[in-house]
Amino acid sequence: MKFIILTLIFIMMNNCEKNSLGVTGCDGVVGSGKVLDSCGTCDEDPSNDCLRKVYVTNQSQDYVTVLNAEVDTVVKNIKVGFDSVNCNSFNNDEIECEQNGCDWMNHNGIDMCMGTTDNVGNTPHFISIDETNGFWFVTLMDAGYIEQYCIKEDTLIDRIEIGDLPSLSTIDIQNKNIYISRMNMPGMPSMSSATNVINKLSYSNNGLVDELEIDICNGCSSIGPHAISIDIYEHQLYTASILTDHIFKINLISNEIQWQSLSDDTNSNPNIITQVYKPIQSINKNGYLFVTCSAGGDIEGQVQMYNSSNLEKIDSYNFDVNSNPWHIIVGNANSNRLYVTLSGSADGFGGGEGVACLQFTDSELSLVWQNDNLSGTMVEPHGIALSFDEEKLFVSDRSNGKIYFLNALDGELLDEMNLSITSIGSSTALGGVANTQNLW
Amino acid sequence: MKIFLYINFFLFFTISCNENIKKNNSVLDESSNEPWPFKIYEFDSDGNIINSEIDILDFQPSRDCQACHPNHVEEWKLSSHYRSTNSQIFKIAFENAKESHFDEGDRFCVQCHSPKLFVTGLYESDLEEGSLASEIANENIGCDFCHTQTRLNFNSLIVNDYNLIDAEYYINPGEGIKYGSTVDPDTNNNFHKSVYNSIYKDSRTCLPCHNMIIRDAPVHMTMAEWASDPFNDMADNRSCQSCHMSYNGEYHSHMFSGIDIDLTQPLDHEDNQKRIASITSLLDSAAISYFNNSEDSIKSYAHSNDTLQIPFSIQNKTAHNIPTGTSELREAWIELVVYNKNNEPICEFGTIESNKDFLKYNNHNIIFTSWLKNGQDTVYSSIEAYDIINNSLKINETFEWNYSCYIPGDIQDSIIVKSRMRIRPVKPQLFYSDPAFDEYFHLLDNIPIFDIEQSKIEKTIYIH
Repeated sequence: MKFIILTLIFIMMNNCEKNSLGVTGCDGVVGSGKVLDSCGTCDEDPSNDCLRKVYVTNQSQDYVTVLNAEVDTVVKNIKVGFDSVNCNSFNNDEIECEQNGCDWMNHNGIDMCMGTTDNVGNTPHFISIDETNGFWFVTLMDAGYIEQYCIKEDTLIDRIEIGDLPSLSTIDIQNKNIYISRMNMPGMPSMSSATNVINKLSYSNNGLVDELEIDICNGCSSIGPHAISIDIYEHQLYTASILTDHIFKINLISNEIQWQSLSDDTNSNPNIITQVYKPIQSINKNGYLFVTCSAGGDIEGQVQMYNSSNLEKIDSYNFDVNSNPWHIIVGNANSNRLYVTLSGSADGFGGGEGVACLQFTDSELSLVWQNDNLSGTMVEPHGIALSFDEEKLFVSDRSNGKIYFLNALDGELLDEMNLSITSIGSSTALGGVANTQNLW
Repeated sequence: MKIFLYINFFLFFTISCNENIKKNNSVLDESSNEPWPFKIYEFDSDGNIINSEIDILDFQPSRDCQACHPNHVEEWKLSSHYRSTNSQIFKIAFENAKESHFDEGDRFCVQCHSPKLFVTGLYESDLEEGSLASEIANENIGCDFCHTQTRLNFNSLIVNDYNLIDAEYYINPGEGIKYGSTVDPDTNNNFHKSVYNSIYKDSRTCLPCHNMIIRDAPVHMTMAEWASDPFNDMADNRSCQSCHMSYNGEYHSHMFSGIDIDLTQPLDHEDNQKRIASITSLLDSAAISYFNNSEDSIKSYAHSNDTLQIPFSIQNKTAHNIPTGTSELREAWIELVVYNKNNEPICEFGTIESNKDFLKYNNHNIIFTSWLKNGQDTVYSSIEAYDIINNSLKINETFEWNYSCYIPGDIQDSIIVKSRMRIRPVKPQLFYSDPAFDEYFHLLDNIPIFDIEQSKIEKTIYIH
């Protein structure tokens, strides 16, 4: 009996091996094992198969994590920015100093290499993707740089210093320009050099070129434009000041700048700090401008909707005072939906954390769903991206290092994953999230 | 039936017990595949330790660190972290807390001021004088308490009458490992293993203690103030460490300068002079003033026998309120004086003769502070607080005001208006709030007043 069983097993194994060897690979060689992936690459390496990618900034550990959007797994962690260096070790060489992200300074008559990369890191904050041309970009807040990567290989093409605290970005794909907002840092005199400007860079396969700085509020001091979005068809750029609660529209052809208070005050001054609505991000769709206002205190967190041509407010959807709306995305081409993260209370009480879906018509914003039972699971939801089929949301948490996968139809939490690189630290803060619509 | 009742009773008892026991495991991440180790302690609602894996001798005294880290230790010994139970103000508040709330009052205070006692369940009376354990405990928030932290706690200290103790720490002392912010630490030594942990750059390492809510009153909310500015919260900008542990090119300051000095030492004591120099530097750009506001600007000309209007504004440039922390003890104010050409004052606002004088709280002076309230009473200890009236200068706030000064008829040629923001860590009236301070009035002489450099402005006005 034993002999019969062993014989059968031997025959089966032999057959399997024969079948395997008999398969013709995509290179035409029998048994090569090479497979043509959905991007047309013929090889036997499954690790470079095409996939839809989700990019997440790991702010406190200086990485960008790449996820497989289909199966929600980590593909790789990309170290971005400069390696941690001791800037003082370049005290004798100005060029080497600056090549390492440090600043060459004269202090009390002595030339020295100073910098903070060895102490605060690079802090990758926000990611923009240009799938048409095959690039993604990440802002490095503390390093003061923006980096350009190719999507296919996720390899660094170029980095360019644009100054203090680059934060959000938006892309003009047609003209291959990227616009970057800069953080304002009231109270840090060393970081007050460029608090009202938007940087314009052009990009190509050869890298980044610094084009110009757009002063959105000439004569203003420290108003901190953060939100940034573009209507490429109308050649209009939009931003908003966290500190003075104003939105700005910049005509990219005529350079004319128009502003509007988020408080409906027609006599408002864009140079006076109010910090009531605290706008975070703006986004354009179908001739409308949507702005998240984190607000807080006595003011409800809200999403405001404007006519993007004349900046007239159309409607506002208000969440509660603890909601802290943060990043926002719009649905795909034919969708009238918006998805927004609610970061929750910042006053130490907690509560309000979640994600919401709104829809818009030409006259109003209304709630489709709000997942408000995630307080306790989420700590501070921050970035958000939407899958190509509009079925799944990717939400990052800037407190506990987790990414959440939600059903975009109803907000149900599907899964979560901690993206902290535990060999570096026990937890991290995640920032922006962006994803490809196509296979790469 | 009997068995069913027994089981129910057992379950009820178990659940009830669990509700009353706190354990430092609320942020445990089951999915993490690389555990950053920490030792567990459990305490009941009175703060009594039920079980702790931490022994006081797991911590090392600072003299063990001194040989290799002399600058760090020297600076830390000047800090409030080192003196957190040694200040006379704390000692009186501590005794009052123990008297009014018994052991719970003790635990309420030590959970932040002497955390090594808290996590080990020891009381001061358990420590033999002159012992190593006593030395370690009395170093309060010492080297080894911070540098054995492995995980962040995302929670604030939120307490009430039924639960005054809430502090959660994730520390791993006694294992010969020191954690810190150095990315590639030098591990070539025989003293301890060094491990980089990115959390040391994170502002939330200052939680839970620097954000406290008691009985729904937000009494000490520095972290919340900081986070109320989205710029800070979204990417840990203007982190606590960037100002209070500034990097000097070689290492981070461990003086943790804020506003406090050691009131038991004279102002000219060498140690206080170092503290004052550090605080003065920190405060240099804390606020900026202007002789204008959104409605008006100061004029270059005025008339005698007329009232001069002085529009004024001051902007908070720090990453939290001014004052912050124990703002009920602190005062910041605007001193504005109009002088004639002989440098004699014509009008004065916010002036005091000496550092121990009371400020005049009236509607002519700008004073930023807060008051803790217990009913109608003002109290100076957070454990007694049920409410807070917070009149601090909020983060990023620009406060606007209009001063008025009558110019007498004999004033000719010109006058000069000078203004500055001043701040002191202790209101003198604190010393009159409790008979326990009676024997410490001499400490009033040691209250410093700091002038914020960038708030100093002056303007010459010509008289017609």
